[in-house]
Amino acid sequence: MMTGDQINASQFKKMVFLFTMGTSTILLPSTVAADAKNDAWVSVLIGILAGVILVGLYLALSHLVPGKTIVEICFAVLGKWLGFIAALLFFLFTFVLTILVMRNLGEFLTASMFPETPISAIHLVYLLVVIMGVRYGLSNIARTMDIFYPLTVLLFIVFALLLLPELHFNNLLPVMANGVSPIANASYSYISFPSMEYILFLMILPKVEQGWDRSKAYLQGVVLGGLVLFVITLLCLLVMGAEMTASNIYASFELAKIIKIGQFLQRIEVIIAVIWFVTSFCKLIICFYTMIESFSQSFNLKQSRLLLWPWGMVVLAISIIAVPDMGYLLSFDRYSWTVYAFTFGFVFPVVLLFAAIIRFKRFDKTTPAASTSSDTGAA
Amino acid sequence: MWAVIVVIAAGAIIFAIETPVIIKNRAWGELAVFCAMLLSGMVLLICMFVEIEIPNPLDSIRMIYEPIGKSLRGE
Repeated sequence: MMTGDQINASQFKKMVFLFTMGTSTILLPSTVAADAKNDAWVSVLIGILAGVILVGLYLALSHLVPGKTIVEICFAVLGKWLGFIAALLFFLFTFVLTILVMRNLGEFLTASMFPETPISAIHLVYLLVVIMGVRYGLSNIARTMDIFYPLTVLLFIVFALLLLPELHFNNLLPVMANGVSPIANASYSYISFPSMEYILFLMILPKVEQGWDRSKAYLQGVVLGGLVLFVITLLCLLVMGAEMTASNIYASFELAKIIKIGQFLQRIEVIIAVIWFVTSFCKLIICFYTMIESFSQSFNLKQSRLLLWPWGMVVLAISIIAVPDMGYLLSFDRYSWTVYAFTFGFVFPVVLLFAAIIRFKRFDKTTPAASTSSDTGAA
Repeated sequence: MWAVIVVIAAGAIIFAIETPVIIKNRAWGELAVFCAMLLSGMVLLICMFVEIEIPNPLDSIRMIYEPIGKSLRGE
């Protein structure tokens, strides 16, 4: 059921868009403002640019080895054993990402709206929905994105418009007072947090219908999602200032509490909470789907949906065990995740790209020794 | 204690629902992976509820990457 279903390019665009917004909508403003202060918006722009370049790299890889997911590319390019190790490492990356998204989601809900509920209960309820969604297949996930996309965009526009009376443009001054290095530091956070994670879509890209250009859809999703994050960061800075943005972990949630139109429209932070529910769900379901798919493709299992329940149990347990508290999560995101994401979002595809060029393009050159050695593995 | 019983019951139900299909298809590799994963999932969940300390998988990633991450941040 999970194999063989196709999605179309506009659904893929919505998928990338919602994936970009998931968890970043709330966590990103404080992360970038902590380093870049009132220049955080510049670093988000740099991050979007880096995201576009990275997606270009991923697209180059998928054009070189067409019609294959990244796990299948590992096997095709690196051979049976090395490919298996690489595929397993990639699976581990998707697993860690799933754990972190799950935990971020749970931490936000317990901290803001359900203070009495045990976090494992929230994780359980979310995971049940995610497992159900993945069980019905990728086209089902894509249709879910179709429904959530207009809702998210509408709520976001309402949110941005309601904040317009509160803007203080002085908060942005002085521009670039501390030089370039804080901005670079903050854009490093953005690059590792949503941008490097786009590599997961190499598991989905082969299932997107040909026709309306899917590369264009990929890039459009990245840019649109990035622009939403840019606007949210900018709003945080303009309304609350850099200090307050940096000191609140859930800055955009605090931002929504400020909205006050007269005496009748206030305390509508639920708007941002709904955006967070929806987009984080989309991100989690995509992470879970790629995790299951990369696992079953590494072990060459035909029926990946059998693994949903067991892996759901593992994710539920590890997401509680692995992160003792919020401080651990923040320090992990800041120091370890950045480098870890860099390894798999950049080094991994670059190595695969060069290996694929060496393996498949050798035929073109006129070195007979090279072509005889490479045609055994290319099939 | 109740949590342990619930976990074992859930594992048994999942096993009862999924395995007939696998056995009918004679997919023995799938069956082995499925059983191993289900068992480790149940063990991990029981460890979580009973609060038995198990090694944290994120700590190993942290051990490798945190020194590099800190030096890249200039801290």
